[in-house]
Amino acid sequence: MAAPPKQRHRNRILAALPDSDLEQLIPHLEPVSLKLGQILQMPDTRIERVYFPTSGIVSLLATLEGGETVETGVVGREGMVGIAVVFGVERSTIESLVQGTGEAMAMKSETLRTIIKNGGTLHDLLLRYVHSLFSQISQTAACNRVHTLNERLARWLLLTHDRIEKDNLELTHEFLARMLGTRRAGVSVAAHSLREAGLIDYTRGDIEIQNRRGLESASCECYAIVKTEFDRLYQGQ
Amino acid sequence: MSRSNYSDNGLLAQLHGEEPHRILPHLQLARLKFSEIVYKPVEVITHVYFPTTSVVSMVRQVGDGTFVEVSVVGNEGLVGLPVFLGAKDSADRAVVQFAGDAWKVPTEAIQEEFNRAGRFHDVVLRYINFLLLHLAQTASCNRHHSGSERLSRWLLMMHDRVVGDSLQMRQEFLAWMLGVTTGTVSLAAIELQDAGLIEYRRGKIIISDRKRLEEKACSCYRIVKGHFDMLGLFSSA
Repeated sequence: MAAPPKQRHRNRILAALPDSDLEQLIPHLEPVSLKLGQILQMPDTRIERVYFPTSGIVSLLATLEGGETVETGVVGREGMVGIAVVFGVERSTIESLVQGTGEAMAMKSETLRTIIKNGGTLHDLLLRYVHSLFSQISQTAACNRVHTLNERLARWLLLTHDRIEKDNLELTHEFLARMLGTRRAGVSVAAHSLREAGLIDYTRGDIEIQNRRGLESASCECYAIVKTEFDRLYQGQ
Repeated sequence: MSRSNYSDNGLLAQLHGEEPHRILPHLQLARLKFSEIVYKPVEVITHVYFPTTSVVSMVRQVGDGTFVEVSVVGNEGLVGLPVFLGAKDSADRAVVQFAGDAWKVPTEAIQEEFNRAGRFHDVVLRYINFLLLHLAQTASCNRHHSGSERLSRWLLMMHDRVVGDSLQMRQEFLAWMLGVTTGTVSLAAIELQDAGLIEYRRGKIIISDRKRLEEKACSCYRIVKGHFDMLGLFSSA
């Protein structure tokens, strides 16, 4: 069953395709829901499907041998989950975890591979997206090294807020600790100080953004850098 | 006698069929000097470099005067990735970490070959996949591992890419690479020297016990090396 066109166009890669290219893809796209905590791709397993989110947010996690994790990037409706397929490989060490409920268009990896094999618009759009994803992961690598937990938490909430498009984020401190690569107690202290400053409020399992501008000031510059790179990607559309 | 052959770069070594005939006439040998800047943020990338004996670091600026290395390119890769991803410039600074040679190609000539979507295209994409995993690992490593573990990892990555055991080094450079202060670098280097793994002298570091350096390094070294070996760049096709 073909997806309703309006929803389909909410993914910015799909929206950027010329009509004729999009028509060719439609029979291969299947609407699926993204559930909080769902793992779309496990590390080192074959990537069966790629996902073009139309809402929600997916974390790209790198796990170390000792089991420590950190989020290296996020994918929302600006991107695609399963980017390794574009590079012609079948598996990746990166885990893709849904951290904000939403919906996506799924496609078989094999189909995508065939469509982009000889280049074309989708191929070029995906490579442009890879450029901004690289930029995001590089910035995160640097940020993880030098910025304070308060700054990184603010950055993380802003990037998530941009993609969730509502003020209430379903999140626990344990989850945030995994994303930010720190202990839960550290997250609680950082969240507390953002609350004291009137930027956020939270209850168990839920964080509310109360002062977005203030949060932007509290964040390191990494938020603005990553955002600018993504905005540049879709300029003129 | 010390002149580089094109196949001393792993990506160029993969050229086959008609590709060498098309690409080789555009290659020029460049001598890269220690600490030379190959490109800067928002500067149009006019040439792509394929290192043979040189090593180039991709460095991100965070804040006013802080730099952090996010990836390393030696004879396995290329400098100028954004030109294959539909971009003209990079947010990174490419700095020569180890003096040596690189093959230099005008951007347009190499883009033309990439756009043919043939073997060279596929080899570059596989390399991009490697680099993405390298970046993600670094993002996590920067968060979780100690200065001396990361210094060991970094020295091993360098050692894999250069000839000999002696690495030319400037302390402030090394601080950027690891995203720490020069004081922290000294402490980490002294720790490794006291354990007999390296000799730390003014302006250089000599690897004296590689095996034990591997034991000292975090697992990130071995993991990224595993991805690197899977590329199979230097095996004949």
